Amino acid sequence: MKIPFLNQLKEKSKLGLKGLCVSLGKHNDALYAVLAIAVFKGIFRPTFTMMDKHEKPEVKRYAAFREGLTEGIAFASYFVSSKLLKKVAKPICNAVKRPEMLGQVEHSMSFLAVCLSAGVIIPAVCNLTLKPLMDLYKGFQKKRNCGLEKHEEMPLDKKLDIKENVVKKPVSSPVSIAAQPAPASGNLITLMQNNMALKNAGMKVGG
Amino acid sequence: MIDKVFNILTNPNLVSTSQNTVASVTIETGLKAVGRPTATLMDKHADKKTRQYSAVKELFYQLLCLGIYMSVIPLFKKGGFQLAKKIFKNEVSLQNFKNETEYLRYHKLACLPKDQRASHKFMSLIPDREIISGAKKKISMRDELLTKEKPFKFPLAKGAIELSSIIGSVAGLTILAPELSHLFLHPLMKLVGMEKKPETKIDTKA
Repeated sequence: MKIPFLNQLKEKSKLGLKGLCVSLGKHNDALYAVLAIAVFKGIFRPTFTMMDKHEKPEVKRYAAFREGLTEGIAFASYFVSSKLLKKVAKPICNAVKRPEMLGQVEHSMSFLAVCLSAGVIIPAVCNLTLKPLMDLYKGFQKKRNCGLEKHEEMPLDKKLDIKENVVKKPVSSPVSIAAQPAPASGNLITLMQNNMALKNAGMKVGG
Repeated sequence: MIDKVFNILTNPNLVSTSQNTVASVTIETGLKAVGRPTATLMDKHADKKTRQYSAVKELFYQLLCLGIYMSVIPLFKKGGFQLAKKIFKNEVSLQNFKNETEYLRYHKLACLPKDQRASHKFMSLIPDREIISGAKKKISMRDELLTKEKPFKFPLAKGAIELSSIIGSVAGLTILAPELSHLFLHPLMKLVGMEKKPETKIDTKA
């Protein structure tokens, strides 16, 4: 059975794919692949980290945030350095009076920008900015945990009245989240109280 | 001075590499394997042992990624070209060539200056088969390369290979390599006596 709408869609997607292939065949740039890799790494790596069932939620969140941030820095570095170096191409071509070679010079410049970013700019920017940004993130986490502590000081009638009104404080250390001890999971009631407290404080992780 | 810079930037090999996805990503990953461990060793936020551990781990990780990438990318290129041939059955530019290797040899020669083509090692591998060139005329593949100043480069065929290479690069470096590298990373670290993880770790990998 022929469905006209589906056939039209098929033809349009074929035309679109052809246009994309011809465009890539004429003007492929080193930047396209590295940007695509940075975008997908920025999506997949934090997702895989959050899906890890062997790690604690705080550790997962910290690692996922860091990975996402690193890819964000990589994406920005590739993009900005390529744009900046491409701007130099025109003056070079004008200086040697060969404006017809602008396209080739721009491609070479873009490739050099990718190499420069991968080898020097991204590692250097990560070294300089990741630590302060992660400290900020830890500070933000600490604030949220403080909010959680306030929540624990609610009137007795609003508290969870399980196991003598004791809600175990979530462990929070601004220095090293990764080094935190595992929560006491032996006691089911304590574990339920912790989970409820985290949900109330808006700290639900990983869906 | 500016002439020298211009000559370097318009060098056919550099221009060809800059428009080749696989070559670009391979060089980029190689540079990552050098740059990231170096930056990690220079990081003053961590102690010496932690830096050494992270740098060695990062070096092995990037080298493994490179190896895995280089082993999977030919499959994507081959598969992508054959799939494009099926999708665009009426496009002569794709049907002119048997496979992606044949086309890439042709493209490599087409990018060279005319006087350098005849002596190139790929010329003996170019079949003396008729193809339909850009002007829709039948011509021998060898004649197209040897007689014309600017042979037709068949952008659709080149684009199909580049698109499948980009898809392969993304799949290889974001899904396959991180998962597969875990299988080899720990034995390698053990081999060089650095398996014991320090208390704090810095991680700059992307």
